[in-house]
This record gives sequence, structure tokens and C-alpha cells, in this order.
Amino acid sequence: MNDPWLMLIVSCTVFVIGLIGVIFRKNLLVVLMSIELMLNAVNLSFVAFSKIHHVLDGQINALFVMTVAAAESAVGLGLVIAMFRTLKTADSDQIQMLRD
Amino acid sequence: MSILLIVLFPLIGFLINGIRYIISTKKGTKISSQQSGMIATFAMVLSFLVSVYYYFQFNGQSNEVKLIDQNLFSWIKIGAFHLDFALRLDPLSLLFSLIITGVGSLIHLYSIGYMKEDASPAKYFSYLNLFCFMMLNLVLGSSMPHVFLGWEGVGLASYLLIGYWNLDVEKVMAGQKAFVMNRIGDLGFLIAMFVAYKYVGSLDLIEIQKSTMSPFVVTVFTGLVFFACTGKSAQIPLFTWLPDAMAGPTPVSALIHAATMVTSGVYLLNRISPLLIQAPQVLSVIAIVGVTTAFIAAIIACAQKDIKKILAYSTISQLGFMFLACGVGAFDAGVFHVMTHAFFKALMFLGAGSVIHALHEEQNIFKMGGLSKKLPITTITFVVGWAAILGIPPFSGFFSKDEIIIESLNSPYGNQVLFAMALLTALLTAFYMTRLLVLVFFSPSRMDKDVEEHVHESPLVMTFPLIVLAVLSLIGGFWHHSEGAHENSQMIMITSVAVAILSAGFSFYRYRKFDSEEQTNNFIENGLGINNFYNNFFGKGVTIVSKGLFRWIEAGIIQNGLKFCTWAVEFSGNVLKSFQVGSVQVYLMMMVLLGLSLMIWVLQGVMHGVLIYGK
Amino acid sequence: MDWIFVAFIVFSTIAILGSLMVVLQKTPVSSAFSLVLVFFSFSGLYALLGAHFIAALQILVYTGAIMVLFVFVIMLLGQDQPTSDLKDSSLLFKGITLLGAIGLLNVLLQAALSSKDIVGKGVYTEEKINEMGGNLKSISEVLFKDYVFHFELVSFLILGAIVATVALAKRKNSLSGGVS
Repeated sequence: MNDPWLMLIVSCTVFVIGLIGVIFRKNLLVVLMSIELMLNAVNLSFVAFSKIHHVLDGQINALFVMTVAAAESAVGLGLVIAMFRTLKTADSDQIQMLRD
Repeated sequence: MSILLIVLFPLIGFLINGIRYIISTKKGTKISSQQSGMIATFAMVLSFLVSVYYYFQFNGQSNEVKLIDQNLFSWIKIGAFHLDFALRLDPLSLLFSLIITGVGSLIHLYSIGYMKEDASPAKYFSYLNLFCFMMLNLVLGSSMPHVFLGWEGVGLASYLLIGYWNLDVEKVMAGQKAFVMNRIGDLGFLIAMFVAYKYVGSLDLIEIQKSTMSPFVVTVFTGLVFFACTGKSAQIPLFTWLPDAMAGPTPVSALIHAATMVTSGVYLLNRISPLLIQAPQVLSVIAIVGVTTAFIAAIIACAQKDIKKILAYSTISQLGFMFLACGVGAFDAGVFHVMTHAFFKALMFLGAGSVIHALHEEQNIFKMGGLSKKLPITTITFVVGWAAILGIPPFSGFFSKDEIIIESLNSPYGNQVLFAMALLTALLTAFYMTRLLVLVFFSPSRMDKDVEEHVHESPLVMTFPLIVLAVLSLIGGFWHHSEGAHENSQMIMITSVAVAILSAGFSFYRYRKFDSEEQTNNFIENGLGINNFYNNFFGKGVTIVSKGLFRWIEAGIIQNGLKFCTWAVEFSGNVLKSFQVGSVQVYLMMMVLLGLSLMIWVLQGVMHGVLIYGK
Repeated sequence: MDWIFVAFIVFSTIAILGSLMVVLQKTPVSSAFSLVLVFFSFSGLYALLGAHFIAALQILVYTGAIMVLFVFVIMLLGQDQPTSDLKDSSLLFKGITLLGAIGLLNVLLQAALSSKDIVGKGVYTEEKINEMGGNLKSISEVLFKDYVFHFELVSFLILGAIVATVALAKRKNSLSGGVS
């Protein structure tokens, strides 16, 4: 792969798609999936920059991000389950306690 | 020895008596008037002794040495402007301090007897000492703000003492009237101070005297100071408060409203006399105002029935004489008259107080008469005061008053009209003072029977000050060395004395056997309707303007403005509330938009190479 | 056109389309399986970049662990019905969001394009990595030398996540012994 910057284009596109998903979707499971998308897009850009700059720190960062993503999804899904238990729904619309 | 002591003793007396009063009201105990009075009098006597020490210090010295500055502390420091809180003693302020502390001591002493039955003597004496403290600040202050401190302080003390018997609404109102009228004059003082700051850059009185201002600025400055003086010294147009101020205890009238406070205007005019010489228009205004005030007050005094009111109008009239002296450039004569007037007018007020005291608060001269046999000391001292104010030689008033009359003709600023008015005023003065004297002391008694039985001479503590003041009124005139007598001055002297004696004789003849109440002209008795005019014109005018302001400005603009403010807050709150939808998604959207704009901003900065990242 | 570029085109197309499907699919299950697709193609992209270790981890961690977790939760909650939440939000909201998203994409793409001409200054060129014995060896070299402290810290993060998950999953009044 001689043009690693092309990867950045893919990364940006996927990131923005993930962002749109986070904003548009109300189903918390899909929101979490979109967050995974965004994290992956960042990972890709890390690896691409690692290649561009001839360093390995990007790849190691990607490794850490993966760990964080795993922890995040575990806690996030735990939250969804807890919310589903109390509100009987997984829609972010239903969580309006912030307003009052 | 320090000039601070002159000021300090009255302050200490004020604090001691004030604290005593506060403690007594807290504990509910009663304080003997003798004790409070002794403390206050002692403080004043000490202060007087210090002044006397400085009098001898100055005596025989050349004029350049007669100036002592004492810097107490740095008062105001703003940027380059610097003002010290400093006392300054020179012959003029020394003379005033001597009058204040000397006459003040006597009146304090007199008050011990006069206020014997009073409920809160500690309060009374602390106010009296406060007044003296402030008055000494006024005359010893080295800068305009310092003088203003004293100026306002004596106004406060005057207000407190006029309304001292504060259970009587009328007396409280009289105090308020005095205060408000003085405020109008104070406006002139304040603006004069601003003018001095702007055009001289210093507020020190000597610096102001020495400064070179353009003629217009000098005229404005002196005019404003003069306006301030008309308030404090009860000149036209601000004189109506003084007769009402007689509501206070009689010693207060003697001290504040005859001997000292009301002469502070003359003091101030003398302080700025080098500037006044440069403003001939202001001088002539002062002379005209002074002589008109003297004349009008004398006319009103002729129709009064209240013994204290007569003396009050007489005071206004004599103050007019002093202003006339200043107005024709004879500042020394004015100050000299301040001194002699302090003696004889304080004497007459205290004598009147003695009469009022003896007659149990009776002030109407048509309910007196024949008191010469019952109050011999009071009568004799009062006659001395009468002779002094009439200007009969060799009493003190003769020297000072005639000097003013002579100067009103002979001085470069004088003219025949001023002279004629002054002479006419002297004639009227002789008339109404004789009327007062005869009706009170020599005519047949018109007293109620039960009052007459209890009439008695005052105790020694009250008669002693009378005797001292009488002696001073007798010999006070010899302290002044009139220089360079004009060739016509002897003629004028003889004329004025003859006029006074003739007028007095006529008055004596008219009132000798008076045994009923005189029908006086209501219009004149009520002060030529000037009070009514002020009430109707300014009082009602202000009321109408205030009502208009209330309706249009207060209700219209301010209230609606406030309503608009509340509406604006509510509206913006509602607008902001619409962002607070509670939906995570909308929050996220806003976050994205904000992040985007931040990002664009940062990248713009990067592109222009100005932000943190550099190029 | 070499085969690497062809592979890149294929993988990136699958990734973008897959992520679009994740967002647009109505049922969470379909989204989840589209996500698997994306993960796989990302793994391919990593491999193309020479990051073989990351590519392997991508499949192991994401597809093997996280996605299983997702599917498991979907199953648990019974979220297999199609939702209409995409159509619920207002047009204005969607418009503003899309506008913002496009703006963001624009900015990001510009930033990406500006990195086109960067010449790497690091020492880990392809030759050096090959010399060291491959990607995995070189990464372990860096990870256990320079980043060992961070590596240990991550274990605390995972421990924290475990505790949090347990606390969340626990029934509310199990402490007081009640049954809900």
C-alpha cells in the first residue's frame, strides 16, 4: 500500500457515518454500534498515520483503543440492560429525566 | 503646644458626653446636667486657653511669621492629586477661633443653668461640643474640602440643635428647613470646589489665593463661593431659615445662629478676598445683596412680636452689614464687625434667654414689660448690648458699624446708594432694638398675674456669662486700630450716631407707656411674604415637577423599562429553554455543530499561522 | 493497477456501505451483522497497511468478543423487531445534523488531503520492520519497552469495567434479599 492517506478518506467517511448514526438513531443498541464504528474509524486513521510517519505508536494506540472499546461496550451494554429493566425500552427518547 | 489641641478638646468633650448619653439611654439612668455641662465647658475653656496662647505667640510678630501649618495625615491621594488633612492658623482663623472658643465657653457655661431641667443634657452638650469642633475645623482647615467638612459639620450640628426638642413637629420642621436651605448654598460650595480643582489643580486655600485664573473663572469661582455664603450666613435669597431656627434652645441661637456659624460666610469671603478683588462684579453683587438683606431684615424686625425672632432678623441685618463691608472691599471691617457682633448679639440672645427662662418660656414681647426691677443684671447687660448694636460710643458696635458705614461711602467700591441704605438700616435698627428693650424691660407690665409672681433673676451661672459679654461689648471696640481716617469720616460718624439716637428716642417715646398689643402689619410680620413666595413658587413648583416626573419618568419610562427587562429575561429564557429539550440526540447535534465551528476556527488559525500551533 | 489497490477499493467500499447499513437498517440484528461486515473489511485494511497484529486483534476482539456481546444483548432484550426511529425525528433536526455532518466531513477530508505529502521521519520503515522479524515482533518491542506502564494501566481500566458491569447487572434489591 503506497498511498496510506487514502485510508484516511475511508476513515473520515466511516467516522461521519457513525456520528450520523449516533445522532439519528434512538435505539440505544444501534447507537452503541455506531460508536463502535466511530472508534474503528479512528483506529484506522491511527494505523494509517503510523504507516505514514514510519512509527509504531499509532498501532499501539489502536491497541489501547480496542481495549477501551471493549470495556466501553461492556459497560454500555450493561447500562442498556439496566435501563431496559427499569423503563422496559431501549429508546433514548424515553430518558428525559435530564430535562426536569 | 500644637494647634491640633484647639480642635481636639471639643472633640474629646463630644465623645465623652456622647458615650455618656448612649450608656445612659442603654441603662436608663439619668445624667446630671451639671456634670455634662462642666465637662463640655471645661473642654471649651481648654481650647480657648490654647487659642489665647497662640494669640500671645502671634502678638508682636511680623505678618510673615503668623502662619502655622500642621499636617495631620494624608487625606486624599488620587493619581497626581494629593491632599493633606492639615490645620492652618493665621491671624484670621485665630480671631475666629478666639471668638468660637471664647464666646463658646461662656455659652456652654450659660447652658448649664439654662438646660438644668432638660431630660438629656449629655446629648445637648455633646451636640454643642460637636458644633464647636466642626466650626473650628471650618476656620482652621487648610483646604477647601477641609473647610467643607466643617461647613457640613456645623450644618449638621445646627440641624440637630434646632430640632433638639424633637417631640415638637414644628421645631423638627424648622431644623429640616435650615438644613435644606443650607444644602442649596452648599451646591455653590461644591461647584466652586470643582472649578478650583479644574482650573487651579489644587484645593489648598493658599494655592487658590495665589493662583492666576482668567477673569471669567475668578468671577465664576467667587460667585459660587458667595452663593454658598448666602446659605450659611442667611443672606438673600436664602435667609428664611434663620428666623425659624430660633426653635432651638436659646443658648444654641446665641452660639450658632448669632455668634459663630452664620458668620462663617464672612470668614470664607475673607479667605478668598485676594480673588474677590479681581472680580469687581461679584463684589458689587455682594455689597448690594448685603445692604438689601440688612434693610429688608430690619424692616421685618420692626413688626415682630417674638423676642427671639426680632433678634434673629437683627442678626440677618447685621450679617448684611458684614457682607456690605466685604462687598465694598473693607474685609477687615467685616471681620471686626463679626467680632463685636459676636459679643453683643450673643449677649442679647443670652439676655433674651434669661428673660424667657424667668417668664417660663414666654417669648411674646407684648406679654412682658417692667422687668428692669425684677431682673436687674439682665437689664443692665441687655442695655449694654443695645447700646453696642445702636453704635453709641464708646460701645464696641460704634467702632465696627460706623467703620462699615464710612467704608460704604469712601471705599473705591462704595457709593451713595449703599451709604444711604446702610444709614437707613442703622435708623431702623435703632428703632426696633429700642422697641424691644422698652417693651421688655421698661414699659408697664403686661404679664399674666401668675407668671409675674414667679419672675426671678437667673442664677450666677447664667448671669456671669452675661456680665463677661457685657464687658466685652463695652471694650471690644478698642482692639481694632482703624487706620487713615477720611476727612468726612467724622461727619459720617456724628450723623450716624445722631440718626440712631433720634430713632431710638422716637421709639422710646412711642413704646414708653404701651400697655396693649401692637397691631402690626401681617405682611411685614410674615417676612414680607418671602416665605410664602418660596413655598408657593419653589415648593409647589417642585411638587408639580415631581408629580410630572413620577407620572412620565417613573411610571412611564422606568417602570416600563423594568417591565421590558423582565420580559427580555423571560423571553431569552424561553428561547434558551427550547435548546434544553432533554433529548440526547439534540444535545449531540449541538455538540457536533459546536465542535465543527471550533474546528473550523482552529484550522483557520492554522492556515493564517496565528494560533497556538504556528505554521 | 496492482492487486493491493484493488483489494483496498473492495475493502473500503464494503466498509463504507456496511457502515451505512449499520446506521440505516431497521432491525438491530441487521445492524449488528452489517457491523460484522465492516469489522472484517477493516481488518483487511489493517492488513493492507502492514499492521498484521492489529488486523488479527480486530477479528478476535471486535468480531469475536464485542459482536457476540451485542448479539447476546439483542437476544436478551428481544430487540428483533424493526424500529421506525429514523423517521421519528423532525426534518429540521435532520437537515441541520446532515449539514453539520457534511461540514465536518469536508473539514476532515481537507485535513486528510493535507497529509498527502508528509514524508515519514520515524525509524520503523517497512525494511526495518522486516529486518526486525515482522510486525508482531516490532510491536512487542515497542509495547513492552516504551508502553509497558500504559499497558499495565489498561488492566486497571478493564478491572474497573468488570466491576461496573457487575454492579449494573446486579438486581436492585438483591442486597436486601428481596425478589423483584
